[in-house]
Amino acid sequence: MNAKYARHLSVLGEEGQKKLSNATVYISRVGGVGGTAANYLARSGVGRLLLAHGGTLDAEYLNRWHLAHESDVGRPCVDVFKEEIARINSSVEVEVLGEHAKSIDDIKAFANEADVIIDAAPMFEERYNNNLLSQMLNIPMISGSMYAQEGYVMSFVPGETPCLSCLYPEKPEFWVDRHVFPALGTGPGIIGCLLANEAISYIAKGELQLKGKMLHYDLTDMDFNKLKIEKDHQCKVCSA
Amino acid sequence: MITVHLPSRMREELDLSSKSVQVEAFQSGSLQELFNCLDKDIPGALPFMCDADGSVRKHIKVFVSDEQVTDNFSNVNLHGHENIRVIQAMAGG
Repeated sequence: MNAKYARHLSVLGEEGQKKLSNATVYISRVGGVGGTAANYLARSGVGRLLLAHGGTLDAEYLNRWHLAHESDVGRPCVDVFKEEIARINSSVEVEVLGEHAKSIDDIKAFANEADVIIDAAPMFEERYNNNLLSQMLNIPMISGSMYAQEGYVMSFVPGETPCLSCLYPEKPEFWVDRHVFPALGTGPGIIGCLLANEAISYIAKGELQLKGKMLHYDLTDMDFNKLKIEKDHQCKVCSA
Repeated sequence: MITVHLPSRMREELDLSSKSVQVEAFQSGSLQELFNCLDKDIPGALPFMCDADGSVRKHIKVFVSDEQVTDNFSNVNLHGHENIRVIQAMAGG
């Protein structure tokens, strides 16, 4: 086994590591949550990352974006991601879509070879597009998000589990842009680690620990709970 | 005694200092009765969760002892020792 992954051996086995190196992961937004996931997936030796993220880097991202540094402010985000991931692990192939997941046609064309979707966008419209993509292409989606000191992670498998729209068919009215959520860096970091771990588990061992479950936390009192979520048989996305 | 865990956004909007509350006036009954008691302790709690017609807002889910509530709140019976979690849809990253 490559020395970079020597400590994976008893956890994933050689076969699991090989599956990782052959896997493609699509990540929708690569910020505090998605960027943390991308970081750990790159370090784990995943074969290919498909990263969808538009815009340039703002200073306010620096409290939670693992892939960004002060000198990157003002640069196109996707350029920063490509450079940083190449520094972390040059074996990882990185493809970028310099736009958010706003068009289902665009992400369908970009992410159709993905083995798993990581949904980490700060806008519900993008998350609902990722959910639709998951259902259309029959690709599992691991979704993680947060607000202030609270957050959750869920794994959705088309045909087997509830989907995002089963659980939350509509967004909260106040969520009008990406500036609405307070965040310390730690919360998005935790979520991103959990997303990466779930993706690695799925790729290497075919196991999703959060299939049909929500892992919810509130760091205010370090309260972590695994909750059972239910399918909505009237869901317009997965039960139509 | 029943403990209700409240979502961060509700705590902000209603200016609450605690993440969870114990509803002392409620001993047993339905989830709707619990939330009616909660709304007396914390005015605005019920409108945060429900529309004017009483239906649960579509970005809110309630869990009783780790199980998602899918039924009408009036049909969910509580015994007085459950943990209730109100969890709002989030998208932050």
